Amino acid sequence: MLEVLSRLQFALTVAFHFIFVPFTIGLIIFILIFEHKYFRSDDKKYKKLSEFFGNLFIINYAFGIVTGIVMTVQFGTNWSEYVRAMGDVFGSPLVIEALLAFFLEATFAGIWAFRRDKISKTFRLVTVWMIFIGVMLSALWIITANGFMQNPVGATWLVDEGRVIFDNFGNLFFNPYAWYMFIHSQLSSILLTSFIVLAISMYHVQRKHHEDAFKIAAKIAGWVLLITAVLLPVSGNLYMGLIANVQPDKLNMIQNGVSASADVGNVLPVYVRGAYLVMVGLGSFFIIFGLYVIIYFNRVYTSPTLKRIMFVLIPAPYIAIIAGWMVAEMGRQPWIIYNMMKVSQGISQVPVEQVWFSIILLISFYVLLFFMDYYLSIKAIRKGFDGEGL
Amino acid sequence: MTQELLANTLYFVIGLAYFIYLVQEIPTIGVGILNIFIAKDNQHKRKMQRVAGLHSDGIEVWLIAAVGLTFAVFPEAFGEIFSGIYIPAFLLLIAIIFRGLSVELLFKDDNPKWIKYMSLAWTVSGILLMFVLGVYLVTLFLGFPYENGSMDMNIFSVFNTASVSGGLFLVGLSVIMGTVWLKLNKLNDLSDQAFSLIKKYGIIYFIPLLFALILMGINNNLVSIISGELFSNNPFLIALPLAALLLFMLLTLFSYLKKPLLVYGVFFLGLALFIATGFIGTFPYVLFSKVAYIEGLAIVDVMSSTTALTIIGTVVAIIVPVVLMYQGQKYVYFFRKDDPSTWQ
Repeated sequence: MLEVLSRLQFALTVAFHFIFVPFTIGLIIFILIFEHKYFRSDDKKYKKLSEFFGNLFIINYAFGIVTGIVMTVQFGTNWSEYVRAMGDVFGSPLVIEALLAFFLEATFAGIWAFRRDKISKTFRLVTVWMIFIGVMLSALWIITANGFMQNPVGATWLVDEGRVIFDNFGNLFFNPYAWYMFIHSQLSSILLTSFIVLAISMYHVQRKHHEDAFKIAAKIAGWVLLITAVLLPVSGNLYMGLIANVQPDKLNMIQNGVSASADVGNVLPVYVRGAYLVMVGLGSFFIIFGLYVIIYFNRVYTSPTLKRIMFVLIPAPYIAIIAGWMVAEMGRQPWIIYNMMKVSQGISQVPVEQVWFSIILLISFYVLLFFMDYYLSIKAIRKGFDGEGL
Repeated sequence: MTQELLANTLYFVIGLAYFIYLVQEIPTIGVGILNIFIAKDNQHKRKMQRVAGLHSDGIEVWLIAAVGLTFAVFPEAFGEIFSGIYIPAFLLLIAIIFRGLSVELLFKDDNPKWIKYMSLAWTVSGILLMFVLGVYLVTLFLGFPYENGSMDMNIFSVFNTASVSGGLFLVGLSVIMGTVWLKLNKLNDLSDQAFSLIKKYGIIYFIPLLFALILMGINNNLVSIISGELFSNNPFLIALPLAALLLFMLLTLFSYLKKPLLVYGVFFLGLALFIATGFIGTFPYVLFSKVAYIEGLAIVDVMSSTTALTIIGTVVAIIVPVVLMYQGQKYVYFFRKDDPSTWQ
């Protein structure tokens, strides 16, 4: 029971955190594009676009950062055996992420959220660049940590002591698994955001709210959607080539829905295969949809039906990302560190009622947070450029 | 550097990270706690939000850095400590979540109910965060009930006279320093109102008393904050907690005399000496046992490998000064530039 609850708790907190993260990763790129255009042209519509999407960024960033902190502490509360065994390697990327990325991101996000109306154009641009660099570095380092769990390189497993010892930082950082994951997940985050930016822009164009500005945003989003949708299967295929070498059992689950490991059972590999098919199916849909948007752009942004369809389909890129995440994480079972340590060996021996307490506490608050985010985001989207900037 | 020297150095870097976090967080949390008591309208709240919110996210990362460094440098101790303080850790997380959201999102909706509840969340989460953090720090300094490689704790084990005093100490200090922070940010009217409040309720008088209770370490009969190896070998170090106590007495005096810069000065030094006392007192143990020293987890027993420590040490040595530089520059720039009278 303790193991099931600990797994459930971690899956819940990661999945919830991941509602906000991909959207902010993609949004900061759009904000950077608009801020650059404003810096060069001095055209106020780019400033307005940057601030409108910047407002959405701050709302989702606020939820993302606070739900992210939960996981750091959770390693100690619920996965202390994992920390004891893997901390030597796993801790370094987490510290680097905090020092290199979080500080940059958080220090400048404060300026963007509370002083962007009081700073020069150049300072605004520098601020957005710093947040962008922070966001990218953060993703890179957390994926470096996760990449080690998938393909443990740069460390040696000490059998007698039941823990790993770090021996090569270069191998950890240049772990090909982590880089494939980084590229694939960044592309999917950007695709998700472009889909939402396109839907929002169509909404405002059709209600004749700053049409000029939102047509530009829609066009950029349409192109970004198509480019990322085309690049995703390319990066995915390269990624699969590596999986075949380092995680053959995961490939077995993906292709055949079965696992060679006796610890996995019959059901989980079927889920992995199902999640993979969902991801690939949605990925194919995004390519066709992206092509349609670009070819028939003039028809697309004036079509109320398509706008409605797009809003209904906003969960689709989220589902694709979560399905991809399920393939990556469920496919590595039963290992917490591939071929080194099993998930069941990593949990903290804490009273089960305490884990129940934390799960109930987190679910209650996360439901509240979800509705808060939804409420604020929808309200900010509806208000358009008339929304309060701060 | 040898593995042990690196680990010892990083142990004190963790202490430094806690200090840098608290010295910034206490005043900004204080602004949040005070908001429902002194802000008469939304314009007041908006001004308070702007002076606290500008830095709050960047400040919070210092706490993440302190916790993350404990994870990376002393993985086993990290696991034992956080699985031992399971319930307080989750209360701390809830406080961090709502504090972060309330300060960021207070005016993201113009619905009066939203603003009302977010203001309340800002105050309550600030009090909870400081209280739990105070309990945690005092427990870290005075020791956990750790014996035979396991934590003998229940939900209420961490709450005793000393640790609760620590929680109240940080809450009280936040309210006082929030008042000072408003003054230093040129929000004079709000600061004056806050000052009347803290004087009326006698909050300024409790600070040295609560600090004395922490030092006395009631309920911790076997070990105390000053009974560690460094204090035993260097008796002159006792001057640190005594000087801290004196500084917190001066904090009361300067608060009474309404001297914000002097209050800030003694707060800065007093807090530095308090954190230094705690980390010097527990050295060489990362997990200090209040059952008996020998039961604790010593640095040399739980430190990471030389490779890991070298990487972390190098990253800390390069990046921390850069972070301090750009965060410091941010304070200087906006202290000079901000004119709250022009804020809407």
